[in-house]
Amino acid sequence: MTPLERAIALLKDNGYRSVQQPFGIGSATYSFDAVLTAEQSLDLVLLQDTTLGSSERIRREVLAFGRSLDVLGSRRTLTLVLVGQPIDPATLESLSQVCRVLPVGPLEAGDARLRDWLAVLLPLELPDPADMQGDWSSEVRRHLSPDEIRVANGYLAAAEQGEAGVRLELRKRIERALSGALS
Amino acid sequence: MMHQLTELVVSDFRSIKGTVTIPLDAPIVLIHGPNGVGKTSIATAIELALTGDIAGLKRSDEKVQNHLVNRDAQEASIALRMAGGTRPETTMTIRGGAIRGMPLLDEAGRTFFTDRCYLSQSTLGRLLDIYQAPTARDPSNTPLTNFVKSLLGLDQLEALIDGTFPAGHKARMSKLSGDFDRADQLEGRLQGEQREIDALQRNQDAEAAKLLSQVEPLRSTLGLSEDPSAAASHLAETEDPELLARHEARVNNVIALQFQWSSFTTDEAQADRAALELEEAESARAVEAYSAGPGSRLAAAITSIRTIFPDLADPAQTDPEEARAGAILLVDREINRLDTLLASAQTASRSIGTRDQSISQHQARLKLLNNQIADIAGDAAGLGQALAALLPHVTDDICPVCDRPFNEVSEVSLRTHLSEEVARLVGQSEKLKSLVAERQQVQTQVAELERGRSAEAARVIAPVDVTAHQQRLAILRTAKGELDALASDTAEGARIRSRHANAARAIAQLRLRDSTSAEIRSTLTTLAETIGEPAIAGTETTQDVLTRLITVTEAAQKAAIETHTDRKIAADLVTRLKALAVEKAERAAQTEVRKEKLAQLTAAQRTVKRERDLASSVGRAATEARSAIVGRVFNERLNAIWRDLFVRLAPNEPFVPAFMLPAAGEKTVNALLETVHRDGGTYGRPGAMLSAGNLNTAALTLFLALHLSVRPELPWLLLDDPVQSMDELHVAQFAALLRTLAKREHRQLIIAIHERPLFEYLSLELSPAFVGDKLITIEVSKSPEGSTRYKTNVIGFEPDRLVA
Repeated sequence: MTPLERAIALLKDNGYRSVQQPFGIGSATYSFDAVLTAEQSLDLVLLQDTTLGSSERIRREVLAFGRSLDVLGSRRTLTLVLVGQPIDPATLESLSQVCRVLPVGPLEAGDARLRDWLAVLLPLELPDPADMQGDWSSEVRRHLSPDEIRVANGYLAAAEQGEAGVRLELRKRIERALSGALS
Repeated sequence: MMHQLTELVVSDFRSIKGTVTIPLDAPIVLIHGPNGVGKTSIATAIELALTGDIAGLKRSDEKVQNHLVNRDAQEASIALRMAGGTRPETTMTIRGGAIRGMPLLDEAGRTFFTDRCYLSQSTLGRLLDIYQAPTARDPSNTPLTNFVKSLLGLDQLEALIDGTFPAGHKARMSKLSGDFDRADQLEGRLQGEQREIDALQRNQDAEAAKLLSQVEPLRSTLGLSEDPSAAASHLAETEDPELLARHEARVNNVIALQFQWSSFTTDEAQADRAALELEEAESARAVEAYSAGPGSRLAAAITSIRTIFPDLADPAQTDPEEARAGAILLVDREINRLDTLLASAQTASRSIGTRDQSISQHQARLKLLNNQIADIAGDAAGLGQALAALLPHVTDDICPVCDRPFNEVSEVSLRTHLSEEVARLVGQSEKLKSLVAERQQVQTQVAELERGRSAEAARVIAPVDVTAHQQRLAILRTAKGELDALASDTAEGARIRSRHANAARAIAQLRLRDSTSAEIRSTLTTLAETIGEPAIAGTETTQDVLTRLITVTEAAQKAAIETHTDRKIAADLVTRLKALAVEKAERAAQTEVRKEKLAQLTAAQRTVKRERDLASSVGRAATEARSAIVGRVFNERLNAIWRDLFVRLAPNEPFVPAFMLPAAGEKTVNALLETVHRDGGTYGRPGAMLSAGNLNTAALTLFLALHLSVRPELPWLLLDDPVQSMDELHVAQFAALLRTLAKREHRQLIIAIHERPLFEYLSLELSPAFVGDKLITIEVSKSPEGSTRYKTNVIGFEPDRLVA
């Protein structure tokens, strides 16, 4: 799988779909390595492999496409994902005037880097707060032996009353153990 | 229904002059205006209406509350409407420094809004500092740490950890539970007691062994049982309290016999018995001869006068010479008496005749004198004296007695008559006096004569008596003659009797000694029998027997004393042994009880130990659980979200800010920040590792990460100019992030922006993309006269011209 294909796959896994190409706006026709969009979104994600072709051509193409959209009165926002050879900073600067540029680069470091670059396009991965609050008592039980669990419930219940409750439980247990011997 | 702010009406609040009505009823509200026209005032107004406070402003100016009203107005008011909350709207008014009105949110909501929803302009630049600044003296008590702690929900775990902490420490356990302390002390005490008792028992065992070794030789001599009790009772039973006394008495007895024996044998012990007996016989014969001869004569002589002197001694009974001398003395005296008596009677008879003649003469004379005295009658002398007394009173012839003239009876003068009468009377008196004296003298002589006569008459003996006296005299004179004749014989008799008496006494003494010696021997025989000595042989002398028995009894006494001493020692030893045995038994019983108690206590202590171990296990499990939860929360939640957000905004920054994972086993959780390189490895704090722009990005994303890490109680984000120093790349990313938050995470975003291009960019980027989506933009400005002008634009969804 080429880096481009991996980028496409990642985006598609997160709700993006391919857009029919080429775009014909007025008399002009635009075509990129891949164009993706998502539902309930005005995003157009243009993916281009910089390994092939010249960066200048990409720059012209994107600028022209952006201009066409403006002329058309579209509110779509462009994101350009560049995979492969880094392109020169001047071109990047020029490109970022008209769209969000995500220069993923050659992707030698693997998926993590790709994902980091594309993160802004991906939904947030938020854990369920309820999950995270965690069941502390089962966490404690996980660290106790079955024998201990059977007798430790008093402490787990007492923990709800705070430190004093736990201390009281400890004291009660000690004093119960000693009650026969001290009487 | 989700909470959504719907409309804000602000009048004369801070920079807002006049009234501004801002629609908020959209997922995203963009507020634009140059600096100073009131963007922050709008954000602050929302904060004030929600929370009743202006915490964001107060961070930079404590006294800001006094300047909330626009300087051209007296009173400010804020009305905020909200959908989905408990209250639909509120109106707050501010006059002077006083804020009136009821904020829309409750206490928890206010805190959530202030901390998690509202990022004020003044806060962003210092957010990291604020988050990490201690809120109290405790350096670990930072807002970030507090957030993390509440996020972790570690209260129960920390309660477990802290609550079970004492289980691992004896001293803390003692402090926790008085019973634990008591049990500990009791165990120590019981063990200490046991040790002491054991030591004591060892000492007493040693003592008992020593005593046993001492009693051992005595046991065989005294025939004692090995059992101390039996031995003690045997000693008590065989105790003879009088034994020693008996031995002593025996010895004393023998010694006394010895003494008695010795006293007999010392004086005249060797006297010639035959001579003595001969002497006794001879003297007895001499006494007999004497008694028949002179003795009987003497007895007869004395008997002859015994009628006269019944008290005379019997010469046969007493010393004959003594009897004879006594008899002679009495006889002599009686003869003398009788002779005198007879002579006196003869003289008296003769004198009485002469005396009777004298008495007759005197009586005749007395008769004569009595007659003469009778002639001179009356009391001549008394009358004479009385008349003489009258003389001085007779001066003339008148009688002083009858007051008649004397001359009637006589020619003689009264005075003369009286004097003659007195003289006559006095002469008679003198004669009478001499007569009386003579009669007195004669009477006396008569009385004397009669007295002498009667005395002599008494001396006269009747003739019968005279005869009797004379007969007695005859007897006496005969006896005296005989007694005198016996003088020498009697002396010889007395000597003979004395000799016989001496001989008889000596003989008697001899006989007495014989009998006493027999008694001594008999006593000794009995004694020998009593003490089991060989019987006394006839040939054995008394002295030998005595010597033998003294030796034997003394030896027996000595042996008895020794035995007694042994018994006493043995009794003492046995008593002590018994006492030791009793003590040992008592101690054994106590030890039994104590050991039982100790065992009980030890068992309880084992349970306690198990409980403590369990508590420690629970504490350890809680610590591990906390580490696990902390690790999970830090890694999977905070750091994951923060990283996601930060990477979105700064995709080319290799250092990503992160919460530093607390070291395992650390007691408290502190939220500290660090940076992590994307390729691995942790580095310094964000402030040291990130550029100013990325530091702002780190702060902004931290704020958003914290917001996203908790349940969205209020799904709002109110951001006051959050991108002031972001470069364009970041701005583009930020726009994408905002869109994600609004469209995908359903947060209502209210964002104030002062940069025009950014505002336009965001207006485009955040355009409604589907039916029902909405964007509100507000452009605020000031009129030349300073009042606030604003333009609101509500943008709905329109299908895009480019179909894709």
